[in-house]
Amino acid sequence: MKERTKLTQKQEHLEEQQIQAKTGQEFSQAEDLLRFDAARTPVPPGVTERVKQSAAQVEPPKPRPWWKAWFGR
Amino acid sequence: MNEPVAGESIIAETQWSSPEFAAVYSEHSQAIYYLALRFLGDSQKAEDATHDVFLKAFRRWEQFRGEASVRTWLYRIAINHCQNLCQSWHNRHIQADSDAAIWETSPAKTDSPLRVLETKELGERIQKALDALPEEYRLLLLLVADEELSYEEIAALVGQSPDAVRGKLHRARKAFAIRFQSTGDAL
Repeated sequence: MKERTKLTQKQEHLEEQQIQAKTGQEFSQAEDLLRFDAARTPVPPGVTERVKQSAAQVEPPKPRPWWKAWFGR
Repeated sequence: MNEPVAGESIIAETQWSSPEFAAVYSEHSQAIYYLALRFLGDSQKAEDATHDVFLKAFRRWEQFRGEASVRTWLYRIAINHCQNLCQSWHNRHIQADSDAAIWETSPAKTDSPLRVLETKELGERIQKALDALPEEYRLLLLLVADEELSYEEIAALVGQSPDAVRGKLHRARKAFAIRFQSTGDAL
């Protein structure tokens, strides 16, 4: 649910940016422009399936120990 | 979980063999794909690179020690992979030092905002501008665009000090603005 809300917010933000873009838009720095571009550049769906298929042929990694998961970000 | 919805074509979808890694992919794949896309400048190569990066990460997942964030770890794999590809293709864009000198001395309008009137071909314009930059500048801009990375993390990824990153970033922004403005309507 939390994830869904986060996604919805992202989508709304993206839509807002797209509306602004229709009337012209300014980006103060290069990275703002790249951020906008990144947000509207999804991973092509075929890539995900390819990764899953390739990973399925590899022995799955053991889950990381709890302490690594806890301390690692 | 993946029941077909009416009207959708029924294609057997492969299941992740590791739910933990599935979450990693879901959270970071867009950032890695975008880096590969704009760094390599080719969507097919970026797709292949994204596949290879995540497969490498999947194989090495047990070795990930959690000293850096997962995002930073994935970026490290992706940067090495993309740089190796560039070297093996011999398709680095050669930017003479004189070019860099022009960017650094030109009285550019680079302090003014980057104006975009039409987003239809925006990706193409961004790519042209990035392609014209030295690899180092391109990489810095792409990493800084990711708000999840700190300057310290970026510095560690590019093997420089945070201060050096800040200095180079200033020049990279300027170089990008000049190139971007020359690609289209941003005047």
